[in-house]
Order: sequence, then C-alpha cells, then structure tokens
Amino acid sequence: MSKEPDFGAVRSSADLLAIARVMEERSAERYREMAVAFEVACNLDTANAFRELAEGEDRHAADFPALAGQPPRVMPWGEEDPEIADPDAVHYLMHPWHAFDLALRHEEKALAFFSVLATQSSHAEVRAEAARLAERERGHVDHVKQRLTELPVPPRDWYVDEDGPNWEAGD
Amino acid sequence: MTSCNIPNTYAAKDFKSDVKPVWCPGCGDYAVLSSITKAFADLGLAPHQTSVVSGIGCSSRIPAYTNTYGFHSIHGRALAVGQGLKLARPDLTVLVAGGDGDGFSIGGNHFLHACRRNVDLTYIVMDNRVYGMTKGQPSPTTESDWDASAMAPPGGTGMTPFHPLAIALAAGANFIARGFSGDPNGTAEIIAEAIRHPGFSFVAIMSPCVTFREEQREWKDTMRKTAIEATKDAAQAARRLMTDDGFNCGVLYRGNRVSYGKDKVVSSKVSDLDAEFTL
Repeated sequence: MSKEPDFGAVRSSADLLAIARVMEERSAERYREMAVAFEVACNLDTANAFRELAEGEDRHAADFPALAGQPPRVMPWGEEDPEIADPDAVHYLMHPWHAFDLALRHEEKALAFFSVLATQSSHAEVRAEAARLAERERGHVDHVKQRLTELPVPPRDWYVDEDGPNWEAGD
Repeated sequence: MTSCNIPNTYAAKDFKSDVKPVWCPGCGDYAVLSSITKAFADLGLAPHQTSVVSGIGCSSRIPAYTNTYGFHSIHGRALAVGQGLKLARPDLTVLVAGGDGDGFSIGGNHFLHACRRNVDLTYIVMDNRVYGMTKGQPSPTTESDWDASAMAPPGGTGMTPFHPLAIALAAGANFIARGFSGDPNGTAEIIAEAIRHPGFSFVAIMSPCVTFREEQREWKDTMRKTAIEATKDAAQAARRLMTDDGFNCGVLYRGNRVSYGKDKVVSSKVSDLDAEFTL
C-alpha cells in the first residue's frame, strides 16, 4: 500500500496540535486493544506492558489542549499513522521487551514525522511548532529506550510453542 | 444532544461494545472491526439505525463487539438472516459479516443467491484462507497446495481456490470491492462506499490469520491499491478479474441494478396483522 504523506495538509500551529493529540489518542487506543488481546491470550506480562504504554500515551495526549471540534479530516501521514502500532506486528508469545521495542519503533517514526515537518513545511508557524513537538518526541524515545534496558531480553527461541495451537492433529 | 438525549453525531468508538474480543493478538479482524465502526461514524449513522449480522467463525463474533443491533446467527446462514432483516426493516443499515469458510463453503449457496437477489445490504467477508476457529483446516479460498497445518491433507487439498469476486460478479452482486486489514482507513472508505451503494454490496477483506497462516503477515508487503478505476461494465470487470492475482485492493465494480424489495415495501398496521390471526 503506498499513499505518500501530505505535509501540506498542516497549515497552522492549531492544526498541528490537533493532529498531535489525535496521534497520541489513537496510539493509546491501539495499545489498550493490544493489552486486552494479550489478557485474553493469557500473556499477562505483555498485556501489562501494553497497558503501561497506553497509560503513557494518555498522559502524552493530555499535554495538548482538548479538541474544540472534530479532529482534522485529512491526516498528513499518508496511510501509516507514525505513532500507531501495527496491529499485526505482534505475536501471542511475545515478551514485554517486544512491546516496548515495538513502541520504540513508533516513537522514532513520530520523531521523524515532526522532524520532517520542522524542516519542510512551507508555514513558519508549523515549522516552529513541529520543532517543539520533535523535541518532545525525542523525550518519549529516550524514555522507551530506558524502559527497554530495565526489562529482561527475551530468549532467542521465545516464539517456539511446544504446545502449539493445532497440537491435536499432530498427536 | 437532541431533546431525547440521543447524540446527533457518533464517533467510531461509540459503535464498539465493552465486550473484549477473543481474537488472537495480531489477528487482522481487530483492524476490520475498527474499519467498520469508522465507516459507520463517517456515514453519520447511529447505533440504533444499524445492524450487524454474522454466521459462525472467528470473524463472525463481530456483532458482540459492536454496539448496534446484532444477530450472531447460524453457520453459513448470516445472509438469509440479514436479507430477512432488511426486508422487514428497510430503514436499518444492515451489514452482514463473516469469514471465508462460513460465507463460501457452509454458506456458499446463500452467497450466490444473495448476489442474485440484490437486497440492499453490505456483505463483508474477512478472508484469511483458513478455518481458524477450528484450528487450521483449509477453507474454500485456501491455495490448493497448502499443507502447512497439521489439519491439512499432505500436499494440500488439490482443489482450485474459490474466487469470491469473480463469483460475486457472475452471480449479480451490485458492488464488488476488496480491502485489506493492514489498511484500515482505506478499508473504512470502501465499506462506507459499499453501504452507500444501493443493492447487494460485497467487500472481501484480506485479514491475516497470524496463528495458523503466519506467512500471511507478508500481505503487508504484497497487497496494493489498484491503479484502475472502478467500472459499471460487468464485462470489463470480468476481464480485469482474469488477471487479478488477489492482491489488488479497491472498488472493482459499481452496478446499477434496482435493489430487490425496493418496490415491494408495504406497511401494515398492527390491527391489520392482528386480523390475519383472528380465528
């Protein structure tokens, strides 16, 4: 799938702040969905990791003013919201470390998104706001990197399931 | 808010229920659920104007996860229920949803005749080319040589995969499209257009089963938006399907047949109905 980002869709600082808030809200919602999925799959450690990430995104969203109306109809990032975790990038046996590794990739994408806007927007006001938001995202990246150092690194064979989903037929 | 406290606009989250999905982590159906609820919100629908009907299977659990009218019906019979509902309550937006096994095998005959009948509803099939709920048997859309599951015969079924879009076109569906769960916004747009289009609208959504068909994670790299505009010419749509590799997303066909029942809607008073039952 290939729809290029439309950075021209962001015309003002207010537009950008609204978009930034929507990014954080959607990201929180996606992490919450993943937390529920992992609870149902009885992988509670990873469910808790996703819940921690969702709560972090909630706090990030609360940094922005509440939306006065509907979110912008046109989002500038093409087909992939940089901060939303890919729903099929997870595995039912993944560890908390993987959840934060996934989050790191998306925080880095968000940082890249704001960095590009900070240099390429044709609106001075947007460039200045994007530079501030990029700095903020850098803080999020650092935080997730720190959490990764605190978590146990999964074993190499973490994805091997000796009690696999269709064991009945093989046994 | 209106005077009876019904909000006049609903967000996508208003169409999601509080029931936790039991789909596997990474299942494409999560994204399809989000696309459906986004489409409802984008169309300005309200939960009480909307109904989701399903059959049996992983994806058929979807009525429980939506905050609309819903009916989790019996295997392969979702279209029969959905058509009945639409004819009885033409004011409702009816969306029928299910999987490839439910829709094309157990419900295959209903699918053919629903296309022919052309009742004004939208049918979404979340196609993962496997029976996931029952642990990985080949479905009608499974590749003929697929035998990676312990539940598949060695060497695969040897059967030609069912081509849902071609069958839908041949049987008379009035709107035909393909979406991909990895593109939830694009898929929401397709679903919204399918709902707006009169008659029977069929949307096949490729939705990976990451548990039994782990290789389908690669669909992220193989699915593409079609560069070709939709056509209202069935013959042209058929020619395009001859070279379709199953990875093109977008609207293929927009027909202009009049919906079944459009000229048959009659309103009866309750007293008239009572009279029919008087002994």
